[in-house]
Amino acid sequence: MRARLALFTALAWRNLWRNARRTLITFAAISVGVWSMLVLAALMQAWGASAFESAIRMLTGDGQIHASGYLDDPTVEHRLAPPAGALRRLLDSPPVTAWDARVRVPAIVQTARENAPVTLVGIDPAAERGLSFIPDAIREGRYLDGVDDPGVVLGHKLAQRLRTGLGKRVVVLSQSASGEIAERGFRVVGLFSAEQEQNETGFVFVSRATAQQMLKIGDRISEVAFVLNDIQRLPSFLEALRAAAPQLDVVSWSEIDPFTQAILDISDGTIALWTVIMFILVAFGLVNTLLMAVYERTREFGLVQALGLRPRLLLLQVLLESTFLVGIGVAAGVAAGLLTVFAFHDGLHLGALAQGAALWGIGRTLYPVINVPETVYIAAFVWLMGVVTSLYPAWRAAHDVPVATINKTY
Amino acid sequence: MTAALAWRNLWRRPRRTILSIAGIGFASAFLIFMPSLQNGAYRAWINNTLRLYDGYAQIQHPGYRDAPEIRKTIPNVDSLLASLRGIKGLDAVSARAAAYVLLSAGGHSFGAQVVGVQPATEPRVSTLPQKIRQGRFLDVADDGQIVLGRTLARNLHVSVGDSVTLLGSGFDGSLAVDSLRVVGTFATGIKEMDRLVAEMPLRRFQSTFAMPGQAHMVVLGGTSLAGVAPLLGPIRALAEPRHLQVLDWRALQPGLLQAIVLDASTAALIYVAMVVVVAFSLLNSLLMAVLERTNEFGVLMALGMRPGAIGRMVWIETGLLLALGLAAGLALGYAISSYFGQHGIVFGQAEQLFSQFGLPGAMYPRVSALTLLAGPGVIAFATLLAALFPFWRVYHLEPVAAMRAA
Repeated sequence: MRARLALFTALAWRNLWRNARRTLITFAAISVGVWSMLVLAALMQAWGASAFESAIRMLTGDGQIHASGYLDDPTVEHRLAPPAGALRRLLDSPPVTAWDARVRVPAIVQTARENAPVTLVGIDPAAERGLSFIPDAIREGRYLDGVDDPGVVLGHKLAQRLRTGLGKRVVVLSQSASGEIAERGFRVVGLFSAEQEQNETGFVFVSRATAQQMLKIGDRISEVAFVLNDIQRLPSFLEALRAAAPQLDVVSWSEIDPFTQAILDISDGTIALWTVIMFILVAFGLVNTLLMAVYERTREFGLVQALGLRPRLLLLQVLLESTFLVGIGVAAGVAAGLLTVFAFHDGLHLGALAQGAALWGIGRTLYPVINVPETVYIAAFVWLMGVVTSLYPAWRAAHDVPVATINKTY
Repeated sequence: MTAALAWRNLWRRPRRTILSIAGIGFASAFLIFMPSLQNGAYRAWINNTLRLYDGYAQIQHPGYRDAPEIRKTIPNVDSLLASLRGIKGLDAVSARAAAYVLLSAGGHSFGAQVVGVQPATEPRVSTLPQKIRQGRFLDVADDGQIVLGRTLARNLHVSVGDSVTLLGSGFDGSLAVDSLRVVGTFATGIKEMDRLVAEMPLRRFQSTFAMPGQAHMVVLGGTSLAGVAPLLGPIRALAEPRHLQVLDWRALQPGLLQAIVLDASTAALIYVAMVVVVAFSLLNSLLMAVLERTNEFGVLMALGMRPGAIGRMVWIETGLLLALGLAAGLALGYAISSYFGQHGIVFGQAEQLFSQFGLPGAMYPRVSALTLLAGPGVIAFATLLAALFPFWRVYHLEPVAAMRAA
């Protein structure tokens, strides 16, 4: 059997090259199709990854902990004690790569002439490293230094709008624990830039202790945000957190930011849809080519059948031919796709379209990556479906009556 | 005679012909449906985004867009509005003023952007008045009333009938204080707006902020974006002598156009790949159809048929194949696009995404001459390009050699 298979394999391979031009054209069609599937998949994945990354770093983290009621009414009234005991041990355990306890309340920033509504975020500057965008976003001046830094960091755009700048003073107003208006002057020590304009105008950062002092909330905080080393572990980690702190509100990033979740779902859907549509197109050409290859050899098939070749083996041979034909086309398409993605491994710069990209929730640069399981899935899908498609021409070849076909002339 | 021959030749291999037609038809139907869907989605996106608040164009103080300061006003706005209403075809204009303030109610205080609007004309330039969830929008007779974004109202713990205190700084730097009664709350679906925006009557705004007769922007609306575009010339002619700036929708929402370009470029990449695949698939069929008849062509030439005539016949065959495929594709593409254009396509999971842009949860493809003809046109071009190859083969046939070919 094995020797026979080797024989058919060799035969199928040679048959492929009896009409090299046709074979090459079919290769081209299949590989362009596969190439477009891979490049699109890489782009959509880069899009999704960028949207996810932007969302996580935009203070969301992989998950958050709040006092119950905070998400509906994010004010100073809904505050919690800094994590302690079992909760604290969980946050300090290995899957967590960074976490911070923040004060986060609505506020107003005032200068002599202007004012703007913002979200005041009190942070531990060191803990934000690896957690949110802010430590790496400072463009002018400096980042906050320590949990009791008296300065404030503003967005570039906000500073412009308020007509203030480095070294100048601004006043921040917010509601204190007792319900009165708390007011405090800050010196602007740094300006940050963000990819989305609304983030550059929407947030001001101060140190946590300063915010707590201003709002008169002692050591209380508004939220805990954390990131894990592996997002796959998030569901079980959230469960552990909920068990450790049943009275608190533990949520994942997708509950805080359903918009990004929607983007990820859509990008997966697009990849699947495109793979199918492209395959249908490739299939039309493939069936045509294989049918032709079968028909022009009708007499040959009749002859070998008359000589005693079983229809089953003829079927096998045609299937082997299409396996090679599609297989090499797929391989070439995968190679071209890999090369294309590799050419953009430094990132695909969206340049002038950055503001538009921000509307889609993504950064200025996309990093297309080859997702190995997905590549294998696409390649296997096309290959398998290609061979399945060739069942019809193969069946035609195997079931034409031998005598009749020998006499056929054309 | 040649055409009849070509037609019959096509049906000597009915299965191959039908597969080729199906391939062309499927591809062109897809290339009609997708651009129509994009066309519909982009239009809905632009229209809903602009009509919600920004309007199709705005007139502002030159520096207001980049740094919206309260002092950058349009003086004597009523006379500007009167002149604008004199422009034929421009029926929706409304003035607004805006300021960042602190809103307080019962111990809760939040920053907000309060917008002074003209209750009589605002509904003509903005769909926000239709997004009222509780109570009502502002009325012409209103004075000390205010409508709030739903999240803002919830954060302030107020509902219809409660009063809120407004604290800001006026035109001259003085303290602007007012007490207003909530008559309605709105939900636009856009988080930022529902959390930050409040609207009050412009006249009350002007007295509270000590800027009588002035406004920050004049918003131009109407039935369609296309209807307003040709009026921008006369509008500029009115605004520029007053040292005011006219901003069209691209200037008001620069990100929107870019987001559309970005989406369209990704789609274009897909379409190009698609056309290339179709062209290669067809090339094989076309080439086969010619090569398998080499012998026959040799005989025809020996009988006195000119290579040119044979070439013409091959072209007509390709043309007929293409025409049938495109006709099928046009019919299918048009039918699908029109059907969904009427009934809408519901994307369950995408609803969240759409609501961020103030869009409804369904998309309506919109067929235009461009979306109907561009895709099939490109397919036709690519097919004819591919057909050059078999034609070239035919044209250079030598009768004797051809007859000897197997």
